[in-house]
Amino acid sequence: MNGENTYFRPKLYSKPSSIVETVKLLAELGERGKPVAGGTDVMVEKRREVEALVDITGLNLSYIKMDNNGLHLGATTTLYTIEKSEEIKQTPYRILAQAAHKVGTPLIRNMGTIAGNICNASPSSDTSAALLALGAVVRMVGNGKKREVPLDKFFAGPFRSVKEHDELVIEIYIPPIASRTGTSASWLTKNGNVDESMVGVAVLVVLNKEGEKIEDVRIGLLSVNPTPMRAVQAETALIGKKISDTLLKEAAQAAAAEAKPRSKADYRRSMTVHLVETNLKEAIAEARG
Amino acid sequence: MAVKTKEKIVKAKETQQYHVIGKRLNGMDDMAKVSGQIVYADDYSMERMLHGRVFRSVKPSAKIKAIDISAARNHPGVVTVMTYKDVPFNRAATSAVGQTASLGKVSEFPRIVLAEDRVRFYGEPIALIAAETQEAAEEALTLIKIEYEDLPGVFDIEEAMKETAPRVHEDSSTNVHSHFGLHQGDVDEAFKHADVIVENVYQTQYQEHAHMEPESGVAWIDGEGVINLRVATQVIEHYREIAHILGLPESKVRVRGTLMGGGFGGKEDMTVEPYIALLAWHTGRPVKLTYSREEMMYGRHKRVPYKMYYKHGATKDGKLVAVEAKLIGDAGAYIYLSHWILLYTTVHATGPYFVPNVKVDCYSVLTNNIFTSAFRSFGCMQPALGYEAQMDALAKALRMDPSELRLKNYLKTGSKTGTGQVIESAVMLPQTQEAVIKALGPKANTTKLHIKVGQGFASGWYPYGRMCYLHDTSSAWIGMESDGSAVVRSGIPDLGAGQRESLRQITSELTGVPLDKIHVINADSQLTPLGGTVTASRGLLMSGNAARLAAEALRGQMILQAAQMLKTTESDVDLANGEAFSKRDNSNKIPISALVKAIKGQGNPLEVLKCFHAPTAPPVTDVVITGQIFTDFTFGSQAVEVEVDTLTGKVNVTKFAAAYDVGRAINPKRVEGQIQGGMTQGLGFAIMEEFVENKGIPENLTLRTYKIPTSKDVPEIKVIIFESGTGFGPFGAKGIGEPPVVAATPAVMSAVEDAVGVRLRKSPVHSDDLFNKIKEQSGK
Amino acid sequence: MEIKLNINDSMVTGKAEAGTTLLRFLRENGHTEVKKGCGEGECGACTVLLDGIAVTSCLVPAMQAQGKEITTIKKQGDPVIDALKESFVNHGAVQCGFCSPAMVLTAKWFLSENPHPTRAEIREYMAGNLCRCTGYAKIVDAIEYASKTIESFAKIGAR
Repeated sequence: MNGENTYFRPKLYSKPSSIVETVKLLAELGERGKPVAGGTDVMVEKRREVEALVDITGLNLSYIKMDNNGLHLGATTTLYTIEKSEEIKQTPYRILAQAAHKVGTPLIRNMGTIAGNICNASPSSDTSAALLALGAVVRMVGNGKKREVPLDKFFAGPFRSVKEHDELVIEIYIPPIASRTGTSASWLTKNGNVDESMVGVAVLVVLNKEGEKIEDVRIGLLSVNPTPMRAVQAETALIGKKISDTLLKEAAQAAAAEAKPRSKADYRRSMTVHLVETNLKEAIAEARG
Repeated sequence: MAVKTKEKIVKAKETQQYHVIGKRLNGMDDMAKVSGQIVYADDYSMERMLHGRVFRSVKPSAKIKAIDISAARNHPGVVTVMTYKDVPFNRAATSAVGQTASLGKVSEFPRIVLAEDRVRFYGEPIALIAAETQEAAEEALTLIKIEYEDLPGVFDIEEAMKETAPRVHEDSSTNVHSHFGLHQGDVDEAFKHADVIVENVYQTQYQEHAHMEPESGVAWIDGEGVINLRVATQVIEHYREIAHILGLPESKVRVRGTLMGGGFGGKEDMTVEPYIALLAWHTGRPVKLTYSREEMMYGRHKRVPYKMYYKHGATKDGKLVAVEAKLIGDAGAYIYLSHWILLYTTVHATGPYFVPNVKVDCYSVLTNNIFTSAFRSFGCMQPALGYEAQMDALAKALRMDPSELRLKNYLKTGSKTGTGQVIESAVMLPQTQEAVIKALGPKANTTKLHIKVGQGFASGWYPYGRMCYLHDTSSAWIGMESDGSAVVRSGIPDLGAGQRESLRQITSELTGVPLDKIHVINADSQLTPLGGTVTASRGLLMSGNAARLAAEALRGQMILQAAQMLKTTESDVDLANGEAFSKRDNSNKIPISALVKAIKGQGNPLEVLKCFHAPTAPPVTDVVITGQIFTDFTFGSQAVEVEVDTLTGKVNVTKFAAAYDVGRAINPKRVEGQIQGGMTQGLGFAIMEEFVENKGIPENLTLRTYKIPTSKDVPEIKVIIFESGTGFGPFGAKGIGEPPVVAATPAVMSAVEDAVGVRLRKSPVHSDDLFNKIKEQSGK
Repeated sequence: MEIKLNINDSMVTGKAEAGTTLLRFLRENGHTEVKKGCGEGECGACTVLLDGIAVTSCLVPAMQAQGKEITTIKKQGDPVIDALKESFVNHGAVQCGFCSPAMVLTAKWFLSENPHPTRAEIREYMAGNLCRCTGYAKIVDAIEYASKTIESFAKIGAR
């Protein structure tokens, strides 16, 4: 109101050509510096304390590489590129393409990046659940350091991550898909068909050879908690168990109980149960081939 | 072959042969618009122009204890900061909008231009800034120091109606600023004899216009001391209020209305006008002010939310015997057009049905919420949620087909409305109902058990033309050029629905001048004869008829001359395609230019100014409204098919059809566009749009948090146009700008009930609410 | 500082600060055909093509647009734009016109990669361009029709 949130007047715009240069600059700037790629968060928030924009689109960080080592997404790969990647869509990684598709609108996705979506750390980040389910790891480079943080340890609170000011996310790494893996994800939008999610769920299951027990599972939830989260208790309850409708229902209920939604809590929990159950079933069906 | 939108036009029995009327023409401005050539309000800049901003209240009810503008005033780049002390006359009634009769209530609790010692809603303007740059103006906003003292506020309409409620305007005895009613027969007696009675409460929400173009304008003082405004406005006649505010003669303020990027009533009251006029007048320099999207959300009016109590009684044969209703609207902190909106609501409260016994009471109540005012369909969309739900409830109680129930009760030509007004034009409700139900086709099958499909329809009505007691007029001037081209001048603004285009088409039809040789100039309060507002679906009725009168006068003169030159009788002459010709022998013809030269040579300049007067009626002075209130009404129906996901409560509209009798489709392509657009705004109202205030503090201020339908939210639309030819507009046209918003929401609610057995009585649909109700239902 | 941007194949010099948006730069340097509807990437009225890709210019730092090809609706001699404009006008898809240039540019972008969209796909691609007047019906008609005439252009790689 009254001009408070229109006081965005960065004085410096810089487009470094190397990562080393970038993180050095970010270290100097501290919280006054903001990496910008697509601008779809930075240029909307227009934070007053941002005095410098550090354009990271000149660092060759837009790529999708898939090999036996897994899936490597360059930090500045646009959501649209991920959405349209046939490579990704042919595999159980496809829930990530679906998640990318869910974000905003095509115009936003043409600019918005995967790392941008993660670093924004919104509790309802549409890519977060799929990334959590896929076991994504955030690779960062800092000024004289580098580290990898699994995504489920990356979110610190609503719109806060563990990334320091002098760190730059350079890649999102997703481990290779084991055999007998199935994935599934879905989102319930708030108003109409193009909106934030009320609830989002993504699931990855790995079955045993006979396909009747769950060997491994990851359940990602978004918009039902101060941060995107893994429903770890639900996961634990599923591992090693024989698949049955009751098992899945109980796991879904456990997942909902773990979540801490801020508003419309009852509804969000009910929807979490419904979506976790549905997606577990779908993922299992896929894993069974 | 152009792709055809799925539409059908059912013509009136007497099909007239027109030259250009009824043709699917391209709009004269369309190519310029899509090419980015139109200069909208914010696209215009002038030398030495300053940038204006409005400093607004962040309290819904407070005293202004102190305000210090010195830091803002001294900020580099700032040229002036104005408060109410700098305003010559700090009151404006959204008043003299193109009519000649008295205003009554509209001028009570007038708009306060800049707040004085207190503020009454969050967003109320307090100060104005003009600066050399946008940045300086923004920075100055943050430098104004203000000290508030909170005052008790009232945010609930029923609370506000109580004796003990804090008064929004301290010197008024009540917050209920207006009360209108309908009273026919004896409802108590009638209910005693009703076989079935249904009683329910309904609630509608605030809706935001969300036109794509923000409010904007530039003002300057010209060389002769006239304050000029070039502004996106639906009402150029606001020059009068601007003059009053500045303490200038009305002849010294000139408003030019730009081609608007949408209005829908959002640009009907003055928006930026008083501010740019004050700043330009005070600084002596041009000033531009454009609202931010956020400012549009909290600083400009919304659609009035209503709480509606309805009681309907019917016989077992399905004849309505009585309707008793109480509708309460939230006017917000200032009246603006609430008084008139309430009148519209009252007149239409019982729906397009004949009801022998009626007792309706409608109230508009001041609160410390955002002020409410005009929005497409002006108080008539909200009651439709109620009256159509009531009809469905009666049908259910009577185990009667809802279509059949409607057919037994629809108004007809010759029926009396709840005010006793006799309907003179065609009432094609049965046909429109049949058409939309048929257009839906059979229900789609779903493969998933938890997805339920439902269909529903609703009928509605809406007047075209303003209230008769306003003595509405519209003038148009048409002049023929010697080379056979023509100029049309009309004050009516164009908000993108083809107001200008209609004038061109009507002129071409009657004078024979080809479309591309007619130039329309509009919306200049000092250069074009005043055409009145682009509101109330009055465009065709008023400016169209004014153009028709002027064109007919010219036609008469031209035909007289042509008869002489062609050596035939007047009745044998026709004008079309730039020629005057004999109907009997088409080869006997002359170009219109020859006609015109001959006439002008005789000393007749071949220019005509005509004024069209709408039917008039005495002012409404009593609470109970009786008699002829409006010129006429437009009737129509809509139908939807929905999918309801019973596991989430989410509603998806999958089929959408509408049918209206538009009297005459001057340009069917444009008529379809109006209907499709209105349907979509109605769809938004039904399933996704809701502006929320919590104790007067707005919660959603962006298009991210206030969602309007996107291309993905609207299904394929079918439009069926009926042309009864019985409208009072030119060529028998009725107005169609607003009616298409009315019936969408009740149709959606009806379809949801058909799908899952739950009738929602509150708009918009909330998935969680529907989910819970579905669960309750299945628990039963 | 001063920057040079390539707008419709013309180099335009203008002032820009670090945070100046491309939208602001365009509107202050002779390109008011690019509209500001919301300033936060929600309405799409500010759509331009950046190296052929449809983006909301209100979120692009003008500095970032250096070295890129910016296309607005005023680009001359572009058969795809011309075909779309013609189709919009013929189909009655233009009412107030405020969203129309942006709609055309978004359509040009997605037709270059999907020359045969279904109506449902058109609705998907256009979801970031809001219109309050038309209900989208005739816009979808216009784009569908234009896609049939443009198909040949896409084949020869015209941009």
